[in-house]
Amino acid sequence: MSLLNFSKQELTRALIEKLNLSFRTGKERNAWFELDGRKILRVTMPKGRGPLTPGTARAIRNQVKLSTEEYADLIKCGLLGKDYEAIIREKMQRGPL
Amino acid sequence: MGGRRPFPTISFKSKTALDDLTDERIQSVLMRSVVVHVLKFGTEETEPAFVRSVPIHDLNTAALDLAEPIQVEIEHYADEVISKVPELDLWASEPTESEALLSIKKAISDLWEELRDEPESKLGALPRMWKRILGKKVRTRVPA
Repeated sequence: MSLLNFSKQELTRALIEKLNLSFRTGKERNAWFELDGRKILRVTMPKGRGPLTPGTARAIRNQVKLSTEEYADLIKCGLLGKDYEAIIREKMQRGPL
Repeated sequence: MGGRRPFPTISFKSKTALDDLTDERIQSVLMRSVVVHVLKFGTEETEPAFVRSVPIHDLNTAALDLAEPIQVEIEHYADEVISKVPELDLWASEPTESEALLSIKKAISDLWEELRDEPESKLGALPRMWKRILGKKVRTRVPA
């Protein structure tokens, strides 16, 4: 599954809905993923509409700390919010986050 | 004189690059091009065509200055230029390199503004590290 098969809107919708991101203001493009009342990751939303470009897709995948497959699953609906939370909690326990 | 003309001969005085190629060499070149092709088209994500790293010395804001340069990675793709500070998980996408550099400067100052007054108890390990890094590199500009 290529990361480039999705649009910016699909990616943005998946990130906001599943990661329950909190934005400081309505115009803000940066949002925090929070767990247990602490800011864990910061995600930058892509600008504009249309297909995802390769550099943007790679940059956001890196920010959300998912493999290519997990990232595609997150956008396609296979990976739910609770699954994402479990992945991040596991990474926090292991040490990288 | 009705004698026959001698059959023309052509002499090659200089060797061409092809003359030096052995079968093994040809095989190795072919194999390498196949591998390059597979890497290029077989990966999930398209790789940048060109990557370089540049230091930035200023954040382009009236309020903030840099105490020391920050290294920014620039990735050139067909339709966009990505600027990144991997250590801070920051990126920006713009059509040109100079715009991408300006955008990453804004991203750095935005991140510092968000983290500066945030208590460490409210931050995970990564944002705590970003705050420590930026605390060393960013300083408030003293009015002239």
